[in-house]
Amino acid sequence: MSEREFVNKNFKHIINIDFRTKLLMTMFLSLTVLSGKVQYRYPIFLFAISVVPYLLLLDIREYGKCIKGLVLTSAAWAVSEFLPKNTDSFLQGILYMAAAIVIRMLPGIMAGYYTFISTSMSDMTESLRRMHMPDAFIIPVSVMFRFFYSIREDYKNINEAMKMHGLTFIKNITDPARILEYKLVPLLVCSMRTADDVAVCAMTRGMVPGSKRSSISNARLKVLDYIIMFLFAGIFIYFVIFN
Amino acid sequence: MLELKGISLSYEKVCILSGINAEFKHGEVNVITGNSGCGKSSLIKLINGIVPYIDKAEVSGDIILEGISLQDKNIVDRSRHISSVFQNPKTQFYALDTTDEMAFALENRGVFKEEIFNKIMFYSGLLGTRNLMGRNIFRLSGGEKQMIAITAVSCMEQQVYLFDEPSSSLDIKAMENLKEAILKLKELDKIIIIAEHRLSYLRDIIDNLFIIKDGNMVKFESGGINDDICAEYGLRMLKKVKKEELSKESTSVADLFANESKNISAGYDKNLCNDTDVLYCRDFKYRYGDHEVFNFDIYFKKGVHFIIGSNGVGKTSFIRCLCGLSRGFKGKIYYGRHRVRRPPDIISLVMQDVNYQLFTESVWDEISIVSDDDVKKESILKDFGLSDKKDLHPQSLSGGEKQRLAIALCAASKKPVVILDEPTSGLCRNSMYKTADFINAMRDDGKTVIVISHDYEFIKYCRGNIVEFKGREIKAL
Amino acid sequence: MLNKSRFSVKDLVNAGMFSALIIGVFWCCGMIGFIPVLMPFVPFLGAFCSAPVFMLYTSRIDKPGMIGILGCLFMLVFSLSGHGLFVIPVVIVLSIISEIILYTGKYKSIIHARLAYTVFMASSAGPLVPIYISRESYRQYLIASNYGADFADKMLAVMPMWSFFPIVLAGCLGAYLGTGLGVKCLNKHFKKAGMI
Repeated sequence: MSEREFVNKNFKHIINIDFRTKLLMTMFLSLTVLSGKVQYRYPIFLFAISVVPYLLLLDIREYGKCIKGLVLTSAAWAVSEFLPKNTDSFLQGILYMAAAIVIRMLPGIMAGYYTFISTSMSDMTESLRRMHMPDAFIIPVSVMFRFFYSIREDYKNINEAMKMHGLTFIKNITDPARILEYKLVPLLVCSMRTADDVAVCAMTRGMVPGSKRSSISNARLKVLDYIIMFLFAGIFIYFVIFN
Repeated sequence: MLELKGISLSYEKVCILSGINAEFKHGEVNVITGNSGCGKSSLIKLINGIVPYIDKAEVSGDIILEGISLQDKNIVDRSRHISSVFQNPKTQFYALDTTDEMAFALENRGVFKEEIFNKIMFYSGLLGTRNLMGRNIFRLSGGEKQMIAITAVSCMEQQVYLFDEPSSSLDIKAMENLKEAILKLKELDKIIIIAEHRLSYLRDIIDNLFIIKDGNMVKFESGGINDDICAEYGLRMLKKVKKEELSKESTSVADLFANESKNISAGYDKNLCNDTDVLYCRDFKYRYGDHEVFNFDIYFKKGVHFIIGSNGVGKTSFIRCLCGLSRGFKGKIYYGRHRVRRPPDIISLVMQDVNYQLFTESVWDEISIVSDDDVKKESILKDFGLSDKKDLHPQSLSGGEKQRLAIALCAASKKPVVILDEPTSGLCRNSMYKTADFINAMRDDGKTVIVISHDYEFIKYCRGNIVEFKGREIKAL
Repeated sequence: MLNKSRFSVKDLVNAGMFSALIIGVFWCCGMIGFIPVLMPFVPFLGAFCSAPVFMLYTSRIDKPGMIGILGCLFMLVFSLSGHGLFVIPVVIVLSIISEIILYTGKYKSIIHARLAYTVFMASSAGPLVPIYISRESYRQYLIASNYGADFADKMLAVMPMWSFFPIVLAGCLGAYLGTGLGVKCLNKHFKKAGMI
């Protein structure tokens, strides 16, 4: 039986790039897009590069996020290009700014999302290890993503319990600090308990921070990785620095 | 062989265990049991090192494994010989992915990649979890999570396997799988120690039963274990209560797809929604993913109703829809002649994990969320045995007390419908009886109590109607 | 065991968990920033809501480096989600200062913890810096396209350049107030429940 059997079915992609490549790509992409120069001199190119994260999301089958993102991006671009620029309206100024924010930040957010959702924890840990990051950084990073999932689940359950008890925002609108308390306190309690349990579990499985560990991951920089890294670095250098 | 010599344990001067001696041999299933708070979990924690390295306690005595004392070894050192499976499936995972989880312990030891894959393949095949490989742990059911945990610790190939109430949130089928896994470990000649309340699923495989009472431990070997001992020590029944034993007169079967075939002979008169005492659920239709879960009508009269059914048939989905927690759900609910548009107005819910439902800083404040009547609150707290804990923080109570508090809130509230989701998972016999008493008290108070449970012993003890949900056969994933 | 880290498993798991919570709360508050009028309030709100979580975190810290880890994760999440790299140097400096503050308080002083977070949250405006930077180049663009400096200024009246420092201060203020609330909450709930 081949080891490919065990690869998470969620991670079977066409584009298989290393975590380090994704990090660099996200960084260069977001820097390029954030720079105002590119939007004003090469708008078409910017649009093209903004769409890249969505293509990647398609590859990992995150259709929902992909569609929402594309719709939002297109709306922002439409506002940016076609809204009349010669009126005094405050509202239009607001709208224009909102569109600008979406255009500048959304590609970076989506690329970052892709980076973390499309990488399994063992690949991420192995890539970070090869970058010579210490355990004191690697362990919290991998645990942080695990906790994003469990916090989200806990938060949902707590909101439902609040609803059943009638502790809604509307009924307590005079005292918003109470609502924050109702939401945060059970969340903190549950999260702290989870953290303690996970730490105990890790210890009973022999984890010692700082000791040498092996990995089932195959993280390796291949030709495709280098191509992508140089491509995005090149884009950044050319469009942002030299222009 | 694992030996305990003269083990004594105290938490802040309160003595839990005194002078315990025991021997655990290879290839035997040892079960430790006793009432809540007797110290069985503490004993497990003592062996794997959580006590005293994480939970501070005063410990004396020695633990000897194959002639070597474990006294001065910390948790990580002990983990070279001992594996542990804990109670809560949700929080005993380090990784997000099942394969990563199984490889975790071996990666920590620096084992080579090919070797790790070999071991994973072997143990997942042995324990029947091959089909769970490569999946997101958060999307698995409780039983599946627990099986992944067992497979992960099996890959470590240790000598000692400790289980701390592993069946706590599991349903019947999952408990069967758990039992099979334990049997396989027994065949591999391991030392197995399980702390448990529910003995019925282990009945066929127990070799030694240790009962802790008043700080001492008594041993019974497999030949001498029977229900009389359980009765004497106040334990849960050993004998499995079968579905067929539940009262036939009060059992009815609810066909979850009755509305599809427009089966009017299902007997639900739509005029019942005009009856004062009836909770009527009409046109309850629910899809999950690409298959329909149910499409039916159902009603509940005043009294106690138990919903039973196989795992995954849709009991929890039904309850969620009934409570209005399911988005886009269009079923209609009627109570007391009126259409109910906001189910939380008439329904109190106790979830499986009570920790999500504790919001305030004292027991009294907590019960004040649902009621303003001080006299009533006092009397309810007294009935539930929480009067002297009025000013304590809800999170400082024990698990059983939290459960009681959650049910007390339902009793104190004016809402006529109470729903309990698996209220007896993890409870010892006395707590289980008390829960049944609370439910009966609420029924006498005129409430409609709906309970989801797979604990037949509990259902048999408590009087009530039983509704069995029968859906379509869902193909195994 | 060679090269053993001076952090225990418990420390690192707690660091990861609390960072997830603090960053999560901050991010959710940041969502309101998509409405431009509300953007100046993001640092204040984010610092305020995440402060109680931070206070709880400090109750579990007993050695230097834990804030540093939080800072690193903060940098990681915000620079990789399109907020630019400006957060990085800012957070590094502020983390070091926060660590020093906590160290002098011997990890038991509440006032030191509050100060530490106040300083740390001066970085809460970091994610907003790109908006200011691009604002400048947009202004240049408008002028270059013959719209006139006057018009450009009117358009950008929502967030003038001088508003940056008040926003940073607002972030610090939010952190200070929030930690005060956090201490109250800690005493009311966690100390009472015996979880600290």
